[in-house]
Amino acid sequence: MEKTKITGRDQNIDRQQNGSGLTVIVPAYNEGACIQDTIKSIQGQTVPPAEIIVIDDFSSDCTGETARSCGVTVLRPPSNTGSKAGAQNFALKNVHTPYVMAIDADTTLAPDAIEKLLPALDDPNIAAACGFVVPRRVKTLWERGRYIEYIFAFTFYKQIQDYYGKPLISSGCFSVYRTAILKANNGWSTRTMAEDMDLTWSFYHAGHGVRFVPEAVCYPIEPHNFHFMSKQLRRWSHGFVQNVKLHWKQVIDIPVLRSMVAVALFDATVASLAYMILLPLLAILVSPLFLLAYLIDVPAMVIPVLYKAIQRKEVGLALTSLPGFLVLRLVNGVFLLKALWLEIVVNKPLMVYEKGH
Amino acid sequence: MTVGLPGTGIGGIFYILLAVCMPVKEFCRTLKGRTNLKRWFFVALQMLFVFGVIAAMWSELWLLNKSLVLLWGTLKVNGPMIMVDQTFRQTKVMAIASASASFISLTFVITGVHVLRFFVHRGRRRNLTAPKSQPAFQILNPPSFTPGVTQWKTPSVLNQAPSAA
Repeated sequence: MEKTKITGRDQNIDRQQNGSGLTVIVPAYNEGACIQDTIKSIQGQTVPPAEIIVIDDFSSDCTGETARSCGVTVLRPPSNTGSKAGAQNFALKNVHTPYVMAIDADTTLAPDAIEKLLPALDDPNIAAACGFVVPRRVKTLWERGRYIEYIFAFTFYKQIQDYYGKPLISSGCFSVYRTAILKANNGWSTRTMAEDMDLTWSFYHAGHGVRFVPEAVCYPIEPHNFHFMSKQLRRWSHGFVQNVKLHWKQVIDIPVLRSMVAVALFDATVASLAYMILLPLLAILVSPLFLLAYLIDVPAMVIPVLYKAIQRKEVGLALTSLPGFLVLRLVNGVFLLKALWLEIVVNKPLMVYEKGH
Repeated sequence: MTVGLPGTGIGGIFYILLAVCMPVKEFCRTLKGRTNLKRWFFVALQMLFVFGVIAAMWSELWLLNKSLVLLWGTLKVNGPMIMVDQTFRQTKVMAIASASASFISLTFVITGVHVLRFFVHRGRRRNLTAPKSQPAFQILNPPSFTPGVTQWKTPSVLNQAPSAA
């Protein structure tokens, strides 16, 4: 019998000709202003999905009508599901394709994002794959801070995590999943504020793999002011601590991931305390030179950031955005400490899912 | 989402060490015939980042050193020599101390995880060999954390009654 070798390129051509076997679900709550851009970017993919389902989660604006006018399937639950995970689970029952992709309603995709991301699932043990995230608007201080944070983390940290087979999170704003494995996991859990982290760690615990594909790019809208940024940071910080509390006994048995989580937890606690308390004290009591510690790692961070910025032809944007990042990480430290205090010491878990914009 | 504060604390050193281990890991894969040029290119790029990061940090400290020497030389003429000299020594001490502290902390954290793992495993083994009167399955999978039902609200309706939720 003649053996035929199927290459990744052949599979991509096959997907373009015979369909991707993919359903895209877009949870949306009062996203009338940006849902159209999201749908258009999905419809314009080089490998289009078999179906696009928008979950109009009991919105009070024109989200449902706008989505319907774009020619996609719109589902509206009888009442608000309570969270993004709840809305996604509502749609999951209607997914019958082998793959399912979750995209935030404020996130647009690069035209070849699905084409680049899907091959990661050719390995049957891979349960999920996520792409590179770049903020769509980079104007305010907070958007600039987030731009540097993403560029650095996705160019350096996440690529190393993927090399060792353990991306810390399959980003909730743009990820593709193997439907059977996702359904076996009962979809997205609503027990934490970071359902993407919860799902990723659950996959690892069940023995599945997760991939990060830097070539697949998405563009979410990030919080543009402190008011909205604080809501997102609160949710993420609490979500991280909640997931550590929930999964630590399982994570401790997963090589590499356990070290990544331990290091992240240590930095969230000790580095934040050092930034917030120790350094100001040393600067006052010993020498003002200790204030240099806030900037000491900037040249190190600039290397991966500049590499990506040169690729994206955004060197000027990257360099002028660095001060925003320095501010953002200070604020991030405050939220992490507060989350650790409330979740672990006071035992007051965050249970209200507040949107970032 | 990203976790923690990129660039701060021991995270940076941890990921640099992981990157440094990549060529060794890739070499082992090569011996088993499980690699390709694309993977080696990726490893080379990460190593380039590592060298770039180290070079950038080294240059920064060198520049800082030179600036302080210059500052020391200028201020020596005017008077407060002792104070600047002391500050200069403090900077050197601070750089060495912070690097050492980061490495020691990282070692402590990684070792701590393995010690914790040892105790968790020992606890599990004890539970497995517990008398049959004890329900071992309940101890094996404790519901360690269940915050409850969440509510999804936009900021504008936060102060209103949760009518839809």
